[in-house]
Amino acid sequence: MSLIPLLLLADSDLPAGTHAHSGGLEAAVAAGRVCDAETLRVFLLGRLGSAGLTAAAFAAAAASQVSADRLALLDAEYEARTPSPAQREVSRTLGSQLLRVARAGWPGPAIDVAMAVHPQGPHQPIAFGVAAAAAGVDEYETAAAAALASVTGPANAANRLLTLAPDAVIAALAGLSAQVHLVATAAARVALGPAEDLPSVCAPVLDISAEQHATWEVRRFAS
Amino acid sequence: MKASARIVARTEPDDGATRLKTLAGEAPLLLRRTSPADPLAPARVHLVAGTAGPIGGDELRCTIDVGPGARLEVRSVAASVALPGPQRRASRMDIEAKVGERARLAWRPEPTIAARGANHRVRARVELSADAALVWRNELLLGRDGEDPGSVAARLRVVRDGRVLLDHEIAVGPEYPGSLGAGVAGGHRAVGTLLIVEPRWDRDPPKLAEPCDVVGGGCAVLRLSGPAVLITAVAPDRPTLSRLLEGATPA
Repeated sequence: MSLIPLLLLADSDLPAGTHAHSGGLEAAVAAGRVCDAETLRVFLLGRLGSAGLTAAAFAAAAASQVSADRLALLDAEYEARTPSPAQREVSRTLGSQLLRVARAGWPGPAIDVAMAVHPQGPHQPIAFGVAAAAAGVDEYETAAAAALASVTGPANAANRLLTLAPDAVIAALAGLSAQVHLVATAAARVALGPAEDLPSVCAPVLDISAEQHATWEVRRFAS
Repeated sequence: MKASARIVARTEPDDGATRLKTLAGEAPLLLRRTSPADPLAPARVHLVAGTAGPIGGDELRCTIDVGPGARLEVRSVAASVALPGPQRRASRMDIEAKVGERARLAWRPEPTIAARGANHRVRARVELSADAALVWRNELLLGRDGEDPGSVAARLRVVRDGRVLLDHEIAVGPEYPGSLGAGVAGGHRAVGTLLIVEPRWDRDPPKLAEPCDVVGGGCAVLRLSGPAVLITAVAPDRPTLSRLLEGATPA
């Protein structure tokens, strides 16, 4: 019975720090690239197929086999897929915050194994996979939750960054459901294979804007 | 069409000059030796497209072997225009490169243009020795002038001294939902990266250019976990893209 822990892990009120991040949306709004419901929908769709696919695959891969060696390998592979230093730092911060939450909710040795992967904590998708496995969530569900989280974070931020009707954001998210399922299915399929074959699709504009955003003196979101 | 090309560069024991021991291509992947007269300059090879394309269904393969101490630069004479083929099949280009101790490879071809309807995939795998240097330029243009974009995915994986340094794929075009929008290509027609791996940066890290915005584009120099940077840029056209990538190259 993994539905209840899955819902808990996917809850945007989970105190794992993600609410402080816009997934690049704040920079996109400031640059005028996202300004209404349609540009938001396309932004979310692009994020889902790039950073979302990569994160979902790594989360499912981490969930499928929680061992020190496998997690260290996945962490190194994810590091190599995150060229932006600003995004690497955010990812490790969120990873260690998530493990703290997971330790409270689903304590066990797996959390300690994951925490030991890197002094600053493992990358976020790896932490998410370990937390999901500890909570009894399977690989597909883990991938689906990670893929969904790649768009719900920025979508929630959109409510604060754009003057949209609140219904517009949920309409955009609901409209992405089928694509979230496709991405999660693709991610779960490759999760059991070699780590080097996991997806590495990047989003050039997000990489560039992450570096610019990190230098802003005044900002509402940490990334 | 299936075709393969192979380049093997080695140093001469007597003078240290780089010699091209193998230079074997077949249409459409033809190779021409264009090394400068100076025997101590890096050896240079130009890729010459023997036919149009790549066209959907083509499977091209290029292997490069740069031996210890050797220096090789690979360029191309013109942009390659990926075109759609029968049954909407994808065209593929696989590149395998191995760069030995103290060796240096610069891969600087002209851009790949994804014509309308094209679905082209490039996969490059580079294996570096711990003290090998690399320059790898990847410029993608979505559609010819005034044309709707085609699709292109370019993945570069670099393993240095047995450990993965970078695994980076840019996948843009109508085959990749949302990729033309604000999150990925940002509505830009030209997207590119320039990877530079320089072993001496292990001891002496370079000073990096600040991220910049230009009219209709932007660029950032991303410091990787290792003596390397990935310069990422988006731009409205090829000249701006090249200027951003080359202009941000650390001294």
